[in-house]
Amino acid sequence: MPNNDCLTIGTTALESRLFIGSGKYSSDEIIPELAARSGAQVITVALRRVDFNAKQKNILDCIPKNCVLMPNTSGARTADEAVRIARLARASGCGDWIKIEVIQDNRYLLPDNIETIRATEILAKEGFVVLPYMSPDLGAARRMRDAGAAAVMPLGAPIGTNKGFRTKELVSILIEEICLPVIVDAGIGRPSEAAEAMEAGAAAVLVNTAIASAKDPALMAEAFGLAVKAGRAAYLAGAGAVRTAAEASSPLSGFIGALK
Amino acid sequence: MVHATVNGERIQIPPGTTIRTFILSKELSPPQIVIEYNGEIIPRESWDGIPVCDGDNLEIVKFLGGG
Repeated sequence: MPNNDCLTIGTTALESRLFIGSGKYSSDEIIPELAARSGAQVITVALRRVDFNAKQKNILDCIPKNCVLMPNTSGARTADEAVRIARLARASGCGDWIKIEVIQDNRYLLPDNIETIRATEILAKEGFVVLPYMSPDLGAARRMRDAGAAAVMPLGAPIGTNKGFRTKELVSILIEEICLPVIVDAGIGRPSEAAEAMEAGAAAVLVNTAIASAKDPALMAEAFGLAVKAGRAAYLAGAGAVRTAAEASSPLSGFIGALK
Repeated sequence: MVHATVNGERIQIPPGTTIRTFILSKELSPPQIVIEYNGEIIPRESWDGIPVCDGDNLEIVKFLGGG
């Protein structure tokens, strides 16, 4: 792997192209091990009302200091709600990154590209490092780019489904046409699918459920770290052409003579 | 008693309770939370100087797991 293959988002140079979520784990306490085993340097979190009846633990205690915190605006159904959540997240003092997540569809949790574009426009002007979670539409991605997004994050499949890289055709178009990091986010269920996204030219992948739902989340996190590295190396190495007919691996001459 | 709304719930608190006093009474640690007071985000250093008044609306939020 080339030494200088960092992914730059905003002003941050990342060595790891795997982002991980912090949701659905048996306990926040496993997060440091997941980060260490996977090599992930970006961890997403959500923002919610404090539950006064619950024990007041602080998830930030479990986020390694070398990791970038990426709050999401989950819960937002409109651009205005996303902007409100983003401003609250930034007021915590944990940085400027924000994953815009605007969802009105409760069944598939598909993002609303129109509201996401609006939120991107507002938040980019306010100096946030904006990473919009979006449905892979080229027109929408261009508008997000023009609005000042630092990357675009098209879904691989609906959130939490582990269905894999189902949007490969449309995401490949984004990768070809948008001069911004394209980070496949949501639905990736196996390390092979993360590798597939990276081989297709994705700048990074974001994984949460696939790790959380594994029997051994720490081992799965490690597997994802390796897969993202392998997929990226394969992309940089330039994979060979796919052929229809066979092509022998060795010369078709110099065979040992036939038995008489 | 003062009647205010905190995280969508109507509550009653002693008059003169500041935002900071209220937070500490709930055993919350200031660094882990962010507060919106009547629609405005209030920096931590101001919590001590703001008494909760009748009709106030507070949203007290924190980070938790998410993807």
